[in-house]
Amino acid sequence: MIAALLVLWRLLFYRPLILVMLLLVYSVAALLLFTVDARQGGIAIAALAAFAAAGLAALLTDRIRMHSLQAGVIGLPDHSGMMRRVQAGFLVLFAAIPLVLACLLGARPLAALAALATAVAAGILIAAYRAGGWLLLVVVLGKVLPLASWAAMPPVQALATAVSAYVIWRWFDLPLKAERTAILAGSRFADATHERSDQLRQPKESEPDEERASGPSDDLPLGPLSSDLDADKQLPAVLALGLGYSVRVGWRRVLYGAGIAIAALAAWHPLDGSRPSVPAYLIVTALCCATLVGRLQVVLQRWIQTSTEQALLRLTPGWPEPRSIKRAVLASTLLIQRGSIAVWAVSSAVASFFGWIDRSVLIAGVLAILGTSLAFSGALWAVLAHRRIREWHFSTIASVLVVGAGAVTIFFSAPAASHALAEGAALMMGPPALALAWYARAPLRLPLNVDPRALKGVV
Amino acid sequence: MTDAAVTARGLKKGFGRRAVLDGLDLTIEPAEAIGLLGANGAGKTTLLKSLLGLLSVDAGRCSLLGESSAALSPPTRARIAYVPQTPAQFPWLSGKAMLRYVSAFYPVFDWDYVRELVARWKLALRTPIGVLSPGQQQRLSIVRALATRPDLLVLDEPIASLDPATRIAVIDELMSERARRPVTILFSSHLIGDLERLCSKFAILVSGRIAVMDTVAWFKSLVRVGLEGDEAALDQTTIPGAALVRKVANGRRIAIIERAAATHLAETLPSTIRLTTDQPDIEALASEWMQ
Repeated sequence: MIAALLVLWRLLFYRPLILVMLLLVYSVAALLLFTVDARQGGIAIAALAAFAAAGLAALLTDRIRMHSLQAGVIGLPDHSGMMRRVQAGFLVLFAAIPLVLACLLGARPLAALAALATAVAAGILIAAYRAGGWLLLVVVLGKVLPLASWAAMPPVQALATAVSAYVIWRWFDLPLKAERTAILAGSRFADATHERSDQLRQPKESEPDEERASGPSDDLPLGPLSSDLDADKQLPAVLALGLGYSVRVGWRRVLYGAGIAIAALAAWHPLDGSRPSVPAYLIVTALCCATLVGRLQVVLQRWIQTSTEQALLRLTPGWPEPRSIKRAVLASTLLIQRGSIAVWAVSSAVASFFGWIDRSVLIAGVLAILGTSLAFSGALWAVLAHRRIREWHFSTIASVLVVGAGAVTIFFSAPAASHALAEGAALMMGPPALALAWYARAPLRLPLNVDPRALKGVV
Repeated sequence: MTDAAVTARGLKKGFGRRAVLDGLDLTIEPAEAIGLLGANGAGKTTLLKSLLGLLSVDAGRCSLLGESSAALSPPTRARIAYVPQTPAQFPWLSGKAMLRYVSAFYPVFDWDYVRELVARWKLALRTPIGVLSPGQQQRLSIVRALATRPDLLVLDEPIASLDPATRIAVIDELMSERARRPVTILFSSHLIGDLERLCSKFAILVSGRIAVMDTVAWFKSLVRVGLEGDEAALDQTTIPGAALVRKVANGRRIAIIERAAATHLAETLPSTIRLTTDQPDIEALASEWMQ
């Protein structure tokens, strides 16, 4: 079982940021114990533990599926058995122990069990089956009665627990299913063309013609790039293409995202009657922040994974000077965030215009999105400035915590307290400014010197 | 005097406490084709990356085509091509997109040659590189390198994933390229039979240094001599002209020596030492150095 717990640790906390986020949630839970009255302490603990369990369950499900696919391809013995023990360990650590704790602190056992089981099942459903349709059911139910009233009903709690238990029970089959899928789909690695699936096979593959090599490229802006790359505004896009990410904004996606966010805000507003739709707005903001972090993480991951491509590009005669590359990296960092920020900005503008959120909530949203952008941009620059990319960097955690502290300081400072505002602003701006200065001064690492352990979370 | 194509002097590179290159010296003259041999983990890839300036070395210096590897000018970089060990390069692009992308950074990119090789090697250019077979990926990588018409071609195990027919085709292509132009080739591989056809010299990397580097003809002139007898007598015995003497066990030595020298060896040895001679192929000879 100890081995399973070690594997669980490696699967869940392959990025230290995940551990930091979990500790933040648990810290808030611990703080709540001192601020809410004794009767509500238990259910508050259960709610926060459920929030953490949902995220971790989604993450673990994704990781188990990925590793099981790989294990299936290479035929690793008893991998599914180990994964099942990992799943059991997860339930004990992140559902059973919080449940006992919540009950000891006064929560009703069924309510706490329902909260934790539903959260784990929700995480599994979203990660394993990309199934979020049940959220619509939640919205519809919310129209009939406030959701809190539904959640307080013992029959509903019992039903949610039963359904969740079924989902969790099926979840234990996931490793074996993924391994079997991988065995059947293992032809991806096959050398022979006929073993590959039809969708991967190209027409006339065995009859290459001249057009293939010389015809106009339908997917790339590949003109004479080497002539003035240093001065070219397209360098961030060129760099991104060479490293396998994109700095382009899918404006149609932004439009859809903003539309869905506004629809959610509008739907939530009548749902809660006259109260402003603060929770919905905060969820939208949190999702935009998560997307923004995801985009920046993609850039970092691509840099970490592409040392071979970086080596090849560095050896090309037309490859720009290090200073130009650094400028392109900085530009990429900003360009890649545009979509998430645009969705958030449009939703915020609409919510403010219709009076769905008040000024303080808007300020919280601004601080959240700005803080996320500053913290993670700074973390990215700091990591790229390191001589060797390791499994985790203290600079990332420090950047997130210090910028977070700055945002909290600004939010809770009185409008007239200019020194508190200045302190908060300094805390928010400090880490990215330091990281930027460090990155500007450090020699460009190309290819990056990556510790193999930093690649462990990467397929 | 013409600059050497590749020069390394006192090259040292370690990872942690492990020294991979330990004062390595190497000189490759223009138009030479060198087969770089070494056991797994001997440091072949580290050596090639260090020579290309892709790894910072701990000590020593290396230069390519007369310029320091650490600061190669764009014109010199245009004369160098590198085929890395990892076959899937730019896996998110199609073969065509990858070639077009890379070509944009080169003043010369021979598209006619690309078309010819693509047709001859039956490459799928529209498929994303990531879903190609390793063999196709490797061939594509070689096409990318050859299309720049390099003066120095550095290949890191580029034929390991290829079937025999394609391996022969790739080696044939490199041979005809050498016949057309004075291209210098540094080729790391374990497939000695293929290297034998292409290379003029072999270099064997052992313990962070080039243990031996000489012509293929010289390697072919070597024989393996087994010496058995009293340990003390063997300790005192010197084998004139031996390229390698290795203690296999107590009372047993193996020496690699030129055939001509081996014929007179029996006359110089004490009578207590028995002597056997055989003519191994280059693969077996190289493995003697690697043990």
